Amino acid sequence: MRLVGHAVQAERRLRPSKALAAAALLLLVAVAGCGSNDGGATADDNGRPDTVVDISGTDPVGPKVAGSVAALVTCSDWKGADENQRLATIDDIRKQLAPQDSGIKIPELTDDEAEEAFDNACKIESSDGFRLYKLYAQAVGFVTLKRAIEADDGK
Amino acid sequence: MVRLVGTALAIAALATTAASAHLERPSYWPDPTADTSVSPPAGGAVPKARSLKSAVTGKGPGDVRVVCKRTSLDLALASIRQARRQGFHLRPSQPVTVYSKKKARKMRRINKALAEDCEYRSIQAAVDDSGNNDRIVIMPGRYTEPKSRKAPLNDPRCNPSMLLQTQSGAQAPSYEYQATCQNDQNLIHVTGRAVAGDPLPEPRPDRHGIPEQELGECIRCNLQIEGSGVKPEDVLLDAGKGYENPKDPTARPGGDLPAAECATDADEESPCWAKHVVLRTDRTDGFVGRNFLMRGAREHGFYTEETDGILLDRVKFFWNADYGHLSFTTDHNVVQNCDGFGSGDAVVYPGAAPQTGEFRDENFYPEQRYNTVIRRCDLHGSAMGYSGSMGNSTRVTHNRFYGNANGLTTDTLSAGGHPGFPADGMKIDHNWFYANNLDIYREDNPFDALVPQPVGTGFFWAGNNDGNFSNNWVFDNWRQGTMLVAVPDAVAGSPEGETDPQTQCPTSSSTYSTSCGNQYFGNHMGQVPPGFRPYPELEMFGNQTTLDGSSETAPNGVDFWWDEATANTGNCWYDNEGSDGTRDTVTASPPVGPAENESVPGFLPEKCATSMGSASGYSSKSPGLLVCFGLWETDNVDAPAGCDWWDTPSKPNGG
Repeated sequence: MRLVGHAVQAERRLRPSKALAAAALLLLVAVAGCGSNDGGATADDNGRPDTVVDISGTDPVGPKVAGSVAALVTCSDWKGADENQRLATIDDIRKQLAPQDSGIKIPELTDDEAEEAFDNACKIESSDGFRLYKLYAQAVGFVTLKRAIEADDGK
Repeated sequence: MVRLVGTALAIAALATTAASAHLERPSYWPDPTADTSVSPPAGGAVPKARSLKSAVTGKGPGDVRVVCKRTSLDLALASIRQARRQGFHLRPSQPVTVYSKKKARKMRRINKALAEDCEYRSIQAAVDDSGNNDRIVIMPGRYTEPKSRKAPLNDPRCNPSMLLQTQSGAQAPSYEYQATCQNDQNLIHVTGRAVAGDPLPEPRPDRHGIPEQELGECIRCNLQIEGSGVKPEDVLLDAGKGYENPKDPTARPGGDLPAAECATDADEESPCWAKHVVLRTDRTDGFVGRNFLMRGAREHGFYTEETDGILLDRVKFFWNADYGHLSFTTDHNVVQNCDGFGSGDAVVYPGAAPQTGEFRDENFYPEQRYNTVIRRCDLHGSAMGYSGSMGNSTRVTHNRFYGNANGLTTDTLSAGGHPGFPADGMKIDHNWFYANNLDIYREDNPFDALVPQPVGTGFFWAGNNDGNFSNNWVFDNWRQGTMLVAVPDAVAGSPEGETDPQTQCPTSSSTYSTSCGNQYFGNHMGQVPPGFRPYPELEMFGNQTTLDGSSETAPNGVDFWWDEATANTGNCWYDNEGSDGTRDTVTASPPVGPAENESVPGFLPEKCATSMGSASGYSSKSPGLLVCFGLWETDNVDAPAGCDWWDTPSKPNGG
């Protein structure tokens, strides 16, 4: 699935959920069992087709302040959004959290990674008020983990 | 794989501590030298407050503008009378203050004189008429600023024409936006410097100094805004609505409405909030704010950015949905004698503090110093009492942290947007961290929790170097008294602006560059300070505590918790005492060692020079951490063995 919208075209990558779950499990095993490295972390698209989604013209969900919803959009907004709105929301947050200098690279979540992070966090009891941009900033840590594991698996 | 486990755990440990990212224009640390284009010079030091008395005697520079309500003098006299008869608490944890006859007479005289000089009903109008060195005195009353409330959010005069387009394609309001449409988001806004040229087309990686081309002259430097009441609650700056009793300073926006019903897409439809920020000051060098309460913002109570020289004294932050106080890229910054509750993130947030520590740019900061000080505050009843990202060389001293989910957290996760990576040189001393057991994730919590935090934690340090945690009292926090975890560069991301090439972590060339050289000493763990007396705010919002005044001890779940990150060096815990006043009763993970003042593998290091993490210790802590943090990415929230961090833990044994 590919996101095409606004000025940005971002590749929507294979969904990492099971890969990450497997990786996390692997880590647990490794920690408990001194570094076993079997049970590979394979990518899985969760059955969703690898398609292109055009979100140009789709507004993100949540209250817009000074051109962006990133500061205020919450789990409550997320739960009520359709797929295109979610992608537009992720796009908005990702842009806001990107560094403001050229030449500086900060990890970014793909659409699937961000969706999964928001979906899971928003399941916690009384999470309706969680600000998505804060969750995004946290989840960036996990994407680094995932990629490190995948790179290690590839060796 | 073992290497990856290390990385993974540090990443995991870091994740819930993220205090915040920051959504704002590219920010710079202001020039720390005084601006001598105004007299007296602005900035270069923490400003000194001018006395209330001098506002009526005419002593000192600048004009005085008085703001009042029709009933202000009556309110002032009633408050003075009450202070004389019953007294008042400046902070809930402090003893009552009773006015002497002389003090009461003086305050009556001052307020009567101010009432005669009053020419403004609106604080914003008084600000707009003010210039350098001027003063605004606000007499008792509740100030809702009707004209500001009517100013539209996303005002078409500024939006989108004054939005900055960042490199990523994101939009952020420029300085000119805030100066031109000042009540778009803010109930009251102070523009400190004139709008000059355009911002740089691309932000400068070196964040020392606001770019000359966009730095205008002082137009409201050395401004002082203060309340003339007995106590901060007498002058209420209010961005909220829907109160049951709006004149009650502790009243909650929206009354009894569930917290989730406050947030609406359109601001005008919110039953709880009218504005996003109560008082914002931008590039206001030499600003003093004193003796008032900021309540009911959809985001922040007080917000300052790119300011050199600012003092907030005797201020309160009630029911501000995100942060009570937020300072960003601000220097010579002091907040003191404050009190706050009801924040979905933190009561105070000094973010992106300047790099004035050991590895500073000595051309820009000749002297090593603390650039931000938070002191003598009650920070309670919130997700966190204090949070901060990239809080370099900040000092937190003589405060009370209680009744939060987590008393104090700093992190280095949000490097993007926060200049100053890696954070270093923080000093936390002579504070009390107690009864931080508030379950903010329960259905009926009166404010929306905006972030996930481990409930029951006194102090959580995630990614700080060369820190000092000393002479604190830490007790009755049912999960952990203190917690230290490492943060690898990879998690923090590439930092905003240039990174300091030096760091206290000798392993910075590999995975870790944070959480080295932190020292914990002289702390009292699990002991109740002599003379401690419980008070009602301790149990605010249903917070759980064992502190009923009957016991001299109140254990933490564990006093010191360290992730034992293998590569970290120089972290040490020494000369601390447990519940019986000796080293023997300190509880820790890893455990306290067999020999005093030594660093023995597998035990809590006490000798700083030989302290190292432990591969086995680090690995052994992984399952618990991974369960908690893994939930976010593994769709495992409802797993039977799920993370328990979102509930108040059981009372520790011995409590």
